[in-house]
Amino acid sequence: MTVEVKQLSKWYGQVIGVNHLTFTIEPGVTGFLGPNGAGKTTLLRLLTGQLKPSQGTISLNGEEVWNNHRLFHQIGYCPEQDVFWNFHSGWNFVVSMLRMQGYSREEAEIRAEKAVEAVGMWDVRNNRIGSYSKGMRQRIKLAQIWAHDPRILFLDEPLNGLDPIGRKSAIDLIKKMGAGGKTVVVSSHILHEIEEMTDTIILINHGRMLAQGNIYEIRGLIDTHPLQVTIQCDNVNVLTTELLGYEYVQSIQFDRVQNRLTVETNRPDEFHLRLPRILSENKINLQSLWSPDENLDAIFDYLVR
Amino acid sequence: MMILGLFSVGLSLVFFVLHSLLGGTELSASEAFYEISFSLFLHLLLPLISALIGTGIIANEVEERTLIYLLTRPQPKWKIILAKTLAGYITAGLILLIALLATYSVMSALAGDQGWMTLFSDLSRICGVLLLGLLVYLPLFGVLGAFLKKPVLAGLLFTFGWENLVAYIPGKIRLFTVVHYLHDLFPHFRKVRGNSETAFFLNIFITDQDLSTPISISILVLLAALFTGLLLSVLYLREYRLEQN
Repeated sequence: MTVEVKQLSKWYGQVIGVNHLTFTIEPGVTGFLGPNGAGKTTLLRLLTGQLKPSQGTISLNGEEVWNNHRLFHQIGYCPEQDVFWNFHSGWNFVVSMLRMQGYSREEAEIRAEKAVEAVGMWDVRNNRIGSYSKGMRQRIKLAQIWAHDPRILFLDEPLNGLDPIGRKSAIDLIKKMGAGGKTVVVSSHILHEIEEMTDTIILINHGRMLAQGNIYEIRGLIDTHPLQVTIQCDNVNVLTTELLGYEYVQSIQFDRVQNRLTVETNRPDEFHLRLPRILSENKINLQSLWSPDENLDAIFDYLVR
Repeated sequence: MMILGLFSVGLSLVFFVLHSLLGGTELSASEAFYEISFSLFLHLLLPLISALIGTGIIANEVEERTLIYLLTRPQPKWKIILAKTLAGYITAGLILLIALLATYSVMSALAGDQGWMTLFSDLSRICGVLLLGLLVYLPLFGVLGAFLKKPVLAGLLFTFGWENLVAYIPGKIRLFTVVHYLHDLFPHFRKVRGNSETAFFLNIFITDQDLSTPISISILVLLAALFTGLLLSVLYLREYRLEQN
């Protein structure tokens, strides 16, 4: 199922929620990444037809979302908010949600059984939701979205409050669904969470889309930004002296105890090309080399600054 | 809400005992029941219970933010509101009818002059008036609840500030209250005009603009349809941001 967003804007009076967004989401897992208040939840609520676009269009497989309740047979939505009818038990909640999806009681119970078991809530299914811990509430919220086997899932900060085991099983389930051909859209402000689920991301800040694509493609967009490279070797003094002579090396941080130096370069390609020659010409043994900012944290920091 | 219903029974007892102690003219079961059902049920409990339940039809889901779940199901929005309104109607109706029946049986037993069946036609007519009133009030308060931030307060202000005060003001302004049309349908409302004690209280509400029963029913049904239509279209007319945690 494909999500197509064209020139989408949403504003509330003078406040802009999202601003001129255009993107397409294909089956698989896609991450919405951005700090709190970036507009991720507003965007998800627009995509699930809860809010009406001020401008632009949203379509799911060619169908408009706003005021189109029929689409919800194919949509699963997990809200960020920790909200429930607290008088429900976990079981009743999932069954009620399935009943509202249009299933008979019998079918709803069969589906609820699978979903509740999948999130590890079987033993406590009959307890009132009000008595659940935050992690349990999050898990029962996840159970209600995949119980009806939707083709597209929108998950707003789905790992909130989950313990490490719960996180792992949720991540595995999300990845499995993406691999199974479903379109899964996950929002998070925690970068490594998204990184664990997908490398296809959409970066959002202040309601604007900063970048979309593969993490490495996005990295390519910011080639002009300096890259940090940490090198551990047996002769940091010589290597430092050599590197200082190159114009594309902007700064070097030195750690003699660890035999390590961190180089900041504004031309990463050139740097990576020259480094082996410098090492070999000066007979320096390289022990390790990595880039501390080649993860989403760094990319995100660069883009939102 | 059930407490409100029980409260009405208690209040009826107090009223009846006080009336006897203060040496008022002997009150028949029908008169006592009639006065209580008119002043307590029609003017207080009906709008109050409608306000408490009606304002919550949408407002509770918005306040609790559970509206998210309702709006992301493959159900048309009008169906969701209709289901909630029906549930509210059944709840409010049951509370009112149970309280009314309890009050009637208590009053009847205390007066000791008439059995259940004697005034059954009055009782069923009063029930009908209350249920018709509920049909108008519930969606009306539902609409208030959908658009206002403090719907219960607004509902109470409407109940006691508009319905119960404006109905006393002579002139045509009382035509803009719902309760005005319910008065006409109340049993013996016209008959008691000019009649001593009971009439003294009831006559306050009688005006030259009184309408016939069919017209009153038609206006009430029209109002019910108007407010229900408005309520059913609320989720199409406005969107809810639902504040974040």
